Amino acid sequence: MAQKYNIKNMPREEFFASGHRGCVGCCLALAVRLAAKALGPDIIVVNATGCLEIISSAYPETAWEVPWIHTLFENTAAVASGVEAAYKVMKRKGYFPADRPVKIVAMAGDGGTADIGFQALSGALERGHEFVYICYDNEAYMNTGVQRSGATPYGASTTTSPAGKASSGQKTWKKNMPLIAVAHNIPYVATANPSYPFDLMNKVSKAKDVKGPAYIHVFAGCPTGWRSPSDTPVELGKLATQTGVFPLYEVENGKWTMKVESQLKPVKEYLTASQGRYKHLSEETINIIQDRVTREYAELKSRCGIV
Amino acid sequence: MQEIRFHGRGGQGAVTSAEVIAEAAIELGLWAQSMPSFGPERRGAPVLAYLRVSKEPIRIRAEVAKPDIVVVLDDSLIFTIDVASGLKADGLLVINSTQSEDIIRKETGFGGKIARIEALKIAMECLGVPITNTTMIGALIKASGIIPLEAAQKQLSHRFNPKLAEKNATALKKAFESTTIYAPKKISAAGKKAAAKKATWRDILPGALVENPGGSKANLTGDWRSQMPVYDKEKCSKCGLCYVFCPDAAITIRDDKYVDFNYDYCKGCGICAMECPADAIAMEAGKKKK
Repeated sequence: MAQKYNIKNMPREEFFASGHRGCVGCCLALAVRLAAKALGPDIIVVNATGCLEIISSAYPETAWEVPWIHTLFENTAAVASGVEAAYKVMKRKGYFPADRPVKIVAMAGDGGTADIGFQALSGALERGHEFVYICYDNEAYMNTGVQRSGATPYGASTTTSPAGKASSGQKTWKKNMPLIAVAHNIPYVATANPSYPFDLMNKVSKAKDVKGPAYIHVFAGCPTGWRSPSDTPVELGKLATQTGVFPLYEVENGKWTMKVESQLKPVKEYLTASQGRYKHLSEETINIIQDRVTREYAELKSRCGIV
Repeated sequence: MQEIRFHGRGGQGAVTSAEVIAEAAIELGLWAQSMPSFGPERRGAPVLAYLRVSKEPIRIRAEVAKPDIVVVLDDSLIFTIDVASGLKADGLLVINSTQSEDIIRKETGFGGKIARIEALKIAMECLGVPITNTTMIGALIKASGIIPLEAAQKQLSHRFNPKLAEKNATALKKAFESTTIYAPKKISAAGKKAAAKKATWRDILPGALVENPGGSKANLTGDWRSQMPVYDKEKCSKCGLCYVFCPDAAITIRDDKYVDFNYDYCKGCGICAMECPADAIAMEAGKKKK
């Protein structure tokens, strides 16, 4: 049975240890720390190249208290598939106790998921491997110095979609990865946000119990790449959800449910809240983003059967 | 040719400092180069930048191993790494520090000329952020005269928008005026740090296996901090949200539901202070422990 977490019952044990080299105020580290608590000790983590890999595994140190393997950008889901297949065989042959199941957990960034690791992920979801895939989405290639990815939102300024006289930042819309995961007809897809820590832990716990692939798309505030003060990412995360920019929902066996905001805040509140990457946005661009967010939020609500 | 090495922490602007001076020197008709050097490190972690300024064309492209000048943007570095490594005995150490000359000499093992500046204070006053790069340029110019102050000011106006350039120019000038110079002094060599032994390929296990789970705890990230959380137990409502939201697991909940801060790992992001519903946590500039 999936756990319902709160401050009283959340595990005090840390599986993602202090001393990791995440930036000051890194919400990816926060998200992973919370997810690791919900996953517990009996997991094997398969981790793509990216921020998480770099900050947690400066050789010969590791921030992980659980088995962990580093993969390339493109093959995270493929390696996770292999680990899961090997685990099944080894369990059958008695190398693992039958009464203490081990969960395979793949973690990758938005670049490693939406761009480079996309086809391996699609294959693993389609083959139905029993694993949890967590995409931490900081909305650009932060590790290499803030280059745009397929998950970079419209209008955001990055080093490869810079804002200036001739350009107003990213010209394309954020790739909807959770929706693509849903299209694979897998048993569980969810979006989560460490600004809502217990919701995130509950979803991870639910994903852990799923028989088959589970995909969780986690919003991960990045003070470095978003050019925000280091104390703001949790607040920015709340605003992203409250404005409908990053809605929180679950799709369990095709059934959509969501956390509905009774009154959506205008996206302007989020876009102009101490984020250097959006500083250049004109009223016109903000309106374009608002229209898109409003439309997508309405679509999401109708999918959830909310009128 | 003058060779300069900058020691800073990611985000403080060591790289920008080197660039500003290089660009200013080039505009003056001198030859210059600047380059950053850092590992897989983050904002707050130690970084290096190199700068060469010369009247002749510069042929060398390597890192600066034997600098004429070392600039230290963050004095917590002198306690953890050998910032004076290779620094010429008749060279110059420019340091942002509130420490005494004796402590600086003892920790760095450097007997030459030292220029000390309380750059953090000036940066907070003039810019409102703990970024000390332009302030340090002011101190460097005062102590070395490597370029005229006006040339650096001009560069700042190229680099920043008018409002920010103005603020930075004020910081630069203030730093120039308030730098303290200490003449060379004989010191005992006893305090010199031994260079840390680095693992070589021979030490790596097959498959680059790492055998100590949670070994990152040996990496005390508390020294990345530029501001620290100060906890007011009287105001604390024991909700535990600071513990939940700490990205570095540096807060623990006690049995009596109050919290403890682990300053060995706290990077000073300020999320706890921002999220505390009872305003029981305040961020204070500085990185002192306990």
